[in-house]
Amino acid sequence: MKLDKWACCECRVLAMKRFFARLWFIGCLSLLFPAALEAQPTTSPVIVPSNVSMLLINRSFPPPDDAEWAPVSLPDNWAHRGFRPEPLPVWYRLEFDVPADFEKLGAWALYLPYLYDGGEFFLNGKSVARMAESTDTSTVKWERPHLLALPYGAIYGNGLNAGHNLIHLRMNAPKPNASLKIPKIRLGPAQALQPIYEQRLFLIRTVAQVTSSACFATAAFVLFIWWRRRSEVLYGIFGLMALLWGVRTLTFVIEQLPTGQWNLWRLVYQSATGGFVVMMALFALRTAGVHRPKLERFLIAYSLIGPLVLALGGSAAERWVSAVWTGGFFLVAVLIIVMVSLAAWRNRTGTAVALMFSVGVAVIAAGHDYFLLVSAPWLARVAPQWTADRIFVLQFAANAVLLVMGSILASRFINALHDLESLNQTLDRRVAEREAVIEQNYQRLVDLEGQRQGAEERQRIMRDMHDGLGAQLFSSLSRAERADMSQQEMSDALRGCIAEMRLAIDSLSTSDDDFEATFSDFRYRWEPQLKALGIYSRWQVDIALDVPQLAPHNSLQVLRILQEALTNVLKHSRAGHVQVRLTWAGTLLQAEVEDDGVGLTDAPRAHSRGLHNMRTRAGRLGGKLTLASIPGRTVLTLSVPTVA
Amino acid sequence: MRHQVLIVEDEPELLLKFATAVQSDPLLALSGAVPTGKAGMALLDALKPDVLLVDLGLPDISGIEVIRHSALHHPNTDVLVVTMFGDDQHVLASIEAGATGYLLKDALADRICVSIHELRAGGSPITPSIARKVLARFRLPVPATIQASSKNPGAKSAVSDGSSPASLTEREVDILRLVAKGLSFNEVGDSLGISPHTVVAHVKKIYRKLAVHSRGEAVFEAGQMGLL
Repeated sequence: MKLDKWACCECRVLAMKRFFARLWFIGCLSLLFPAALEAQPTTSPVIVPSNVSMLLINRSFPPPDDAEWAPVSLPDNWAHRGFRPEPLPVWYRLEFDVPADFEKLGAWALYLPYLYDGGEFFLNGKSVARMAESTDTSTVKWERPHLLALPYGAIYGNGLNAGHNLIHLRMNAPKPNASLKIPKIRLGPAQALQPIYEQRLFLIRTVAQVTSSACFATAAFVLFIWWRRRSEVLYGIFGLMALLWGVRTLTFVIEQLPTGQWNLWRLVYQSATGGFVVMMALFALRTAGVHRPKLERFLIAYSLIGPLVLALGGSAAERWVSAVWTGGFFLVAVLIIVMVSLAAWRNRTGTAVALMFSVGVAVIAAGHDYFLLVSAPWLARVAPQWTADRIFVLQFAANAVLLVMGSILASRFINALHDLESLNQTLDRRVAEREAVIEQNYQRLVDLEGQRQGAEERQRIMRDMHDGLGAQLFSSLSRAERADMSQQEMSDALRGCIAEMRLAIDSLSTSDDDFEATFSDFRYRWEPQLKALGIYSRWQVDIALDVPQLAPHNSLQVLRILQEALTNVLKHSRAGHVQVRLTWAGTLLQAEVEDDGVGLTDAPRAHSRGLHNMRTRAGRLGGKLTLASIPGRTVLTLSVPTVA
Repeated sequence: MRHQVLIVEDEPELLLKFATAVQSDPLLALSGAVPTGKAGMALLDALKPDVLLVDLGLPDISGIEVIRHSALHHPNTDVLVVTMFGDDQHVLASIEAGATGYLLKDALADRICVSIHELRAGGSPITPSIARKVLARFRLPVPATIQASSKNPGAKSAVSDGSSPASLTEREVDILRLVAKGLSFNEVGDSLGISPHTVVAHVKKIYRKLAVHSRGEAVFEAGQMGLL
């Protein structure tokens, strides 16, 4: 199964390869060796009527043999021989002999490489084929070749005979200032003429169709790129070139239109031709790195002159336009050649050199087409055979130019992508380096901050020890030295010091900044002490979740104030109950110590000194201490703002 | 029968204070009082006392070592560590080494004897912050306070994992949480519907589990480090 398929595929691939190879071969040959087109039919019995004559007469059937026929030779180009007759219908008469065994060679046909204006063919006096002709309402311009079947055999009566035959060709009078071009006409077996016909059909029509389609597709793609990136003007120019060239190439495809549309089409055609050349010049200027806005404006203006003249002058002006205005583009062509040569010399890249050569070829081709179009007599003298074939070659050359330009843009695009990639890599690396530096700096900052915090913490502990424990020890020492202390007082003082120290250690050792945890320890230490002296304590903590916390050193200060308050209760109040309440009101921590003791009146001095201490501490915290005291109820309230 | 008490304390004043306190109690007997760790360990092996009173800051070896030695070789000896401030770090390290009680250096004489008797009766003291530390050691969430909202979300599994000898029961966790909140043993007992004695008995069990747990962790960590 598989093998079969593969074999089949291979066959098809081979066939396609052969097909393309042949196309390529034909294309090359037709460009390089014009004679190749002629070389083929020699072996077959193809007949080129030699006895040809013409007559101008207004008549719808072939004129008789004895009319005033004037001998001519084919191909006949009126412009070449300066023939400008009255506007009358034209008749051509061709005599030829057919071999006796012609029927064995199959069907016979008449081959016309071109007959731009159309006409009617008569075989032995009977109309056998009619190509549409220009009328008042419709215009034709046949670019494609024609292969007309010639009827033969008994049923046709006047069909092809063995021996002598006559063909008449009738054509309408050409338009004023227009000239007729009648090609070399060949007759023969259809089998023999078919390949020549197809070859020319391919060259003239298929290539044009393919070119137009490819140009439109390319134009759409490139113009889209340009639309999204206006700064890439070269893409815009190239897209316009492709578009204009695609439009211009339609001249080989559009053969028949109503006259009004035909004139419009010619306007479009001329605009596209001029615009294409000017765009090519702009492209060349830019690739050469030459920036001349005035020149560019002038070129664009020039490209608009032809269409403008055509629009104002109508079809009568077309001859002037194609001769003079189109001719003026040769100066533009010179400019283009200079510019692409400059670009090739400056850039020295393969594509730039290829552009130079392809543009050179295209200019030569354009010159060729121009002289062919205006029917320059010298061209007919130099290469009569080739001129008679009338093959316009600019479309092949221009395709090559477009391909080279496209490849220039493509390589620019690819280079841009490469640049972008390497740029990204560089950027990534730089970002990584910067990140590393920032990380280092950040780490340094963190370290410094840690050191700073450590230093601050040490400072604070030192100050605490100095103010708290130190002061207490010094006052106790001086009293002890004065022997102003009983043993009980001494041990009380030392216990006070130890309690102070224990409080500091508790609040500083809490690894988590949790005031409630520290407060729990505080309660744990105090509750038994109060109980031992017969004071019943109630502890109430009313803390909601997620409220702002106190910093650890602030916790210590708050607990010190509470400690002082409880010490006062313990020593002086003679209370039976004490209640410690802790509430959080917004960003305010409120601590209350309430006892049912004697109140402040009893020992004002000691109280006032303790109170002063507490007030100082509260002030340092940015808080406030209030005292309300009557005998039997003393309430000390501390309010401290928390850190947000 | 009187409880035999061995004291290891390098400071003469305190040694004297503790020895005096023990001797003044009719239910306690002083079996030895030494100032160094090594001497303490020798006496411990020789005398096998009921209670060991040991200071952490000894001149020759750390008190922790003495505690570890006692817990390992004399599991029936209750170890009371003598601490200056009752601060978490020292107490916790001692508990992890095998101590089940602690005594403040400034404790009054009667308090010393009460502590020894409580310990012999099967109860241990505990402060709120030590309760917190114990909970943290077992990777359990600390009680619902401000900062503890979601510290150890996956910790509940440690409780239900009752097969391990070193994991806490739910009752023990409840006790720790209440103590950590600052509640007294009475209040803890009230809120759990048990007597304060049961509470302190639970605490002692918790301490023992902490010691086992710590050893397990040490073994685990040593294994991780390739030491075992």
